[in-house]
Amino acid sequence: MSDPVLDPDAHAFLRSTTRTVLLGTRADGSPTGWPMTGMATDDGLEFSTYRKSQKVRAFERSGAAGVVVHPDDDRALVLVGEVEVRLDQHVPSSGGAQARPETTATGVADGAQQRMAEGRRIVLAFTPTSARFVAGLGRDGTP
Amino acid sequence: MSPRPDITMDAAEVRAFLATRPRAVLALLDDGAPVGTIADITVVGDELAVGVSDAAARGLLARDDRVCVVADQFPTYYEIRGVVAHGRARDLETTGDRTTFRLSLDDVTSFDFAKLPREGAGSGRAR
Repeated sequence: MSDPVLDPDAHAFLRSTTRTVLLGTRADGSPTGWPMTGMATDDGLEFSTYRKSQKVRAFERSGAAGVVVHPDDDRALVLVGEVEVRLDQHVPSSGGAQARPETTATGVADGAQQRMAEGRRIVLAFTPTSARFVAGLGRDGTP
Repeated sequence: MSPRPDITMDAAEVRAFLATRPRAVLALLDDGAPVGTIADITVVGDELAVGVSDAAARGLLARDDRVCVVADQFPTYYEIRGVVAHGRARDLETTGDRTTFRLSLDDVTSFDFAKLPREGAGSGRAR
């Protein structure tokens, strides 16, 4: 049996925050990124986004993806893997209730839930193939 | 349907925001696949000066100079701001275990949620 990609420390780190940057490639092959709320699953992460968004088009071209999980901490978790575009999954496995709970304004979270219910949002499911820690942003982005 | 509000930052706002972020996510390519790390950033004129100490990332940078820097903040919903800068790493220099380069800020996307019309009755404070 192969070693799991995410050891217990990485799993705990992943579940400790929703703050991530999802990395993909543009049409010309150059790298790009999107700050996203990442919701941990048993296998990796899920992201909720608009079906018509630029990032959906990007991952339909190529599923190759990276994620940097970066709470304001002295560590960040660098993941490399693949994104699966789940057009038929409108609500994250968690229900999506934890989407940026620390920052969501009154009314905004309800609107996001409504757009999930209407099928206007879909799920990007990220499965890591490698994981490693690097020096993080530091508290409030300060080294 | 109402038009989407323009929440992008102008060039001066981009520079001012980046000046508040000493570190950011740096995206690189590994045989065409995106890989991230954390880098130090400093605004110098109309460019970013970027410093990388992560050995794996420095190796990738030496092979492919296409990069992307992502800086964001999210203290409360209506204070969410972010800048995504794309380009090629220029003027690469390696000293000891650190590589620095310059990145122009002429291919940038940005967002400032303070420019969003307020939705619902909430104040936008954290909850």
